[in-house]
Amino acid sequence: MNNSTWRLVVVAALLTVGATGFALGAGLASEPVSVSRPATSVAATSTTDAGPSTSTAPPAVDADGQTSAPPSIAISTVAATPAGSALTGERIEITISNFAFVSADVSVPAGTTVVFVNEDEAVHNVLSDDGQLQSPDLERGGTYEVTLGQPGTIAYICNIHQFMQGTITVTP
Amino acid sequence: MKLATDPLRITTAAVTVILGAIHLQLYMESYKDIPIDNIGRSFLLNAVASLAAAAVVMLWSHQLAPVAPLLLANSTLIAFGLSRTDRGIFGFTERGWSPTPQAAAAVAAEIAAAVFATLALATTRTTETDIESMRS
Repeated sequence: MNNSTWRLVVVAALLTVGATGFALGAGLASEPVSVSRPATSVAATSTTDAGPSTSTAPPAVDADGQTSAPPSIAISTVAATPAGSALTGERIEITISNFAFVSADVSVPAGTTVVFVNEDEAVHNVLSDDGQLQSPDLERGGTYEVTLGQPGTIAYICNIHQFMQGTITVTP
Repeated sequence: MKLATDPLRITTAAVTVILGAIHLQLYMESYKDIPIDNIGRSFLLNAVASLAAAAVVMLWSHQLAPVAPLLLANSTLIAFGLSRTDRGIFGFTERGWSPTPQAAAAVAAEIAAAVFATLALATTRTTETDIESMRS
């Protein structure tokens, strides 16, 4: 090889090493981190549903320093509901699919348990400004459930992909 | 124009096609639905460019042909890294090795493509016959 070819190979090798280091460093540096839910804002829900059960949230610590058990997470059998519809059931499911919350805008009576199910290959989470919804990062198949007691409107997003938004209106 | 027989070029082309296939699968699965248009287009463009780069390295005997998959692989690695920063790429961010397992598989294919392309660059010589064929 002549000198110009060697220079090209050296540049190619340096470029490859640099790009590889950047990609690996960025990927490792942004590993999904679980988010603790504040015990005071979200009612932890136990369930006795049959079927696969996966715990996705770490224990939360309340103001007294008491550690509470993470909520039990279960696959809900309730079908997704049309956007904007009023619901009377005690348990509804909001699916995360194709980088969107399916049935993103729903209205539910107070006391309803809302179950988010991530069906995407990408990691998503569910967060609201008021802290009522504060899921850990959900891998594919991961679920997050919360029981909503206070009437009002809760706007929520996936804070990894902030174009993913929705609202839950809790009625008395 | 004849197919390359150099194992380094063949391997480079193979892993380049794999990285394109992963991006195409992600595009078809859900990335086409992302409301940031440039993201879906980028994944589709990556798939097309991967096929083109693989074709170049297999069909063009010139010494510089491996530069095509090399640039594609390194560009894709850099885009992956940018998407894991706070600013993201085109405003789109991902976290860690999500989506699983495609992200890790794609990065592995990109590194392999870049390494094999660099080795192909270092070892391939343009022959007098090649030069004559390019002139004609």
